[in-house]
Amino acid sequence: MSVVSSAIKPTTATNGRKGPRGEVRIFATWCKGCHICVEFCPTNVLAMHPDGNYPVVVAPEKCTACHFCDTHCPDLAINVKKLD
Amino acid sequence: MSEHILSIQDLDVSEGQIPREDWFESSITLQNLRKNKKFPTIWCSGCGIGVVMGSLIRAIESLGLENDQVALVAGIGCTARMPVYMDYNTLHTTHGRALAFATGLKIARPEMKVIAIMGDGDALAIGGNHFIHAARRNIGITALVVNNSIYGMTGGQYSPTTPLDARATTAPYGNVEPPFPICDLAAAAGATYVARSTVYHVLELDKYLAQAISNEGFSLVEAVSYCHTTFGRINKLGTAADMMRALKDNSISKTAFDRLPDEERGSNTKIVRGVLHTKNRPEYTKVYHTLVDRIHEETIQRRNYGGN
Amino acid sequence: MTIRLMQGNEAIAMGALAAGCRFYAGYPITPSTEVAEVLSRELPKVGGKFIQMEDEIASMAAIIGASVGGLKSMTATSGPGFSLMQENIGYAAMAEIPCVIVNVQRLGPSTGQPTAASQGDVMQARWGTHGDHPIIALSPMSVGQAFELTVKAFNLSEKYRTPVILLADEIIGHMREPIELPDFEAVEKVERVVTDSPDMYKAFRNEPGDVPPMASFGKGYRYHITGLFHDEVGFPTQRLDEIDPWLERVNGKFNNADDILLYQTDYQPGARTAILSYGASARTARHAMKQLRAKGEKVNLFTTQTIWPFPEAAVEELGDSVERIIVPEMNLGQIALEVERVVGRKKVVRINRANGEMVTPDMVLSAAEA
Repeated sequence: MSVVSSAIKPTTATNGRKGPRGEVRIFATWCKGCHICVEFCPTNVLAMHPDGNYPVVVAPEKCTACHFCDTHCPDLAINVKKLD
Repeated sequence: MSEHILSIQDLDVSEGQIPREDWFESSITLQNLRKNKKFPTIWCSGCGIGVVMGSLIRAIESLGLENDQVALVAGIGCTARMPVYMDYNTLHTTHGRALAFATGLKIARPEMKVIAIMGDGDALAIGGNHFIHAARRNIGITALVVNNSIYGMTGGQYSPTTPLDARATTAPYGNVEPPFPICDLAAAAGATYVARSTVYHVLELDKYLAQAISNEGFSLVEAVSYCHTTFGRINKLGTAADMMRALKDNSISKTAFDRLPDEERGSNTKIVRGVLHTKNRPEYTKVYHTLVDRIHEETIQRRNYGGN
Repeated sequence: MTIRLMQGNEAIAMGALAAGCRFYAGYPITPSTEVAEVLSRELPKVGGKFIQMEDEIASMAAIIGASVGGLKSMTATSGPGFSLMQENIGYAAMAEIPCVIVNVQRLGPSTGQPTAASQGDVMQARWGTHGDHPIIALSPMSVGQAFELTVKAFNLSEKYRTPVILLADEIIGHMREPIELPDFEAVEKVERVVTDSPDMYKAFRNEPGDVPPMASFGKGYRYHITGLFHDEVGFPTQRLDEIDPWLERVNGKFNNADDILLYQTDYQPGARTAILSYGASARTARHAMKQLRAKGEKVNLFTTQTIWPFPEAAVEELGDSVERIIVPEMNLGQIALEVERVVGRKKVVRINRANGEMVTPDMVLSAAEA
């Protein structure tokens, strides 16, 4: 478990954006690879894993915690926690 | 890149079951799934039914209901496979009959929130009669109809909501039967809360579900979804994401719809989303149980104070 | 204890109340409608609930829903309605939901003759719903039995977690006889008791010979009930190692259950002829037996209230001691099939009538004296 917690590092680097940022977690064993989260993420935080049928976070700093992905995931396999 | 992904080796629970600790705590939906049920769910990759499941859980949570207080009664079909995953009292019944089972349960346990979960074929074809009468009685049941316009579980036969001319496995030359307007039917039959949204507009769906469950009488929420595996494939409508996008592009809010000029309203083919009908009518168990209490009380009085 | 002149259907309704029935859902159909009418009036007096559903399918569904919600529940119908109820009866058998289904048999098939009697649904009561499943069916032969067997039906349904069919007929349903009504409070009732905590509770645990206790919804036991084949906690399964134990346990439910087999024997040593019957035809059988004995003939009489499971052992024993068993019934030989199966076809004499008229004692006498 500690492997996961420490791996999620909210970045301090900003790109001039204000507003909420979110922490994305992906439960790969539940994901069936439908791409909905990747295709609809408004800021392109996600992309499909090159070797696996699940998404990965490629741009964590761009997450605005809009919650589109976790409310539209058919498998409840992605979860966004709003960061303070 | 892969560090934030919880792979199977990191789990300290057996394969397929929900994760504990920090994942769990941040997710209302995960918290209300059955801890002893195996996941992932059985639905096809990208199916909107899973989206509705999340929406339903959030709606129930927003009302502060106890899990023991909630009963989910489902018919048969892909949509009806929803309840087994959720940590409530769940009853998976026979095709088309969810509302009838739910009626008995609600009369026995009027204090429970009873939600009937049905697909379009289940609720409107074989279940049509029970749909009409549950609405007529205005019994305190919430009917959640996930409308994907097809019989998905059995491989893609046309349903009472399949659009005209669309193809299906039992309509190889195109469907010649006009579809049912589910919401109009519910309102005409006596439902006191009728709303429609789509699995794209999921937060709106959360809201309507919460309102529907709060409504004392018979509520109907039509959750428009898609079946990309059968209907979508036969009619060449693309991937799940494509069909999700189509729901966004082909819908209109009720307020916008009402502002359209008459001819445009008449020829509208977009999905109209909104609270379409509300009415104030006495709820069945309230009326009947009040009557029973009175007769019961009179009988006791008569027994205690003589007379026949 | 009061003595009242009562109609059979009314006695069934009274039996339900005495047994603790607090929910009825049904659809009017001749010749069962009086059961509904009486209960619509009497249930509210004891705080019970009555609803007339839109059809028999919904009625059967509603009584299962109410039973899951914790109320003892019943419906009543006749042939055409009984046919409609079959799918959901199978559901109750599969999901092991206690409930009582009254079938006041009328002449069929199809619309038949609504006001004429028959015993034509015997095999349907056993196999009307698809798939291998056990069932209990009881047939009263008097108004008094209509009351008693309804109480028994509820108690058996709760004890064994099974739907129970009260297989009455139009004659018993519509006739009037004096009946001794006991004090309903004093009538013995089987209640649901769950002692496991919710985490330990297995709604469908497969201990052979054991009936898992039934928890009602809303009492802290949030479990899943389904008509699909399921594991011990109720989740759908396709695993043979979960299906096979269920098949064995559930289909073996009534194997050694003496409390289910209700019948009377009136035997004479040396008798070579027996008459076996049930329901209204048992009255014919009894009358014929008396007539034969008055003529000096030795005759055994076997009258059974339990139709399913068929009292095989007792009938086999009877068959061993006589040369022939006469089976009068108002159908073309449905229980006769069971008797033949158990004692051999050569020993069985069928006396059948399937036109709405009772089998007469004369018909039995002619067969006995042939």
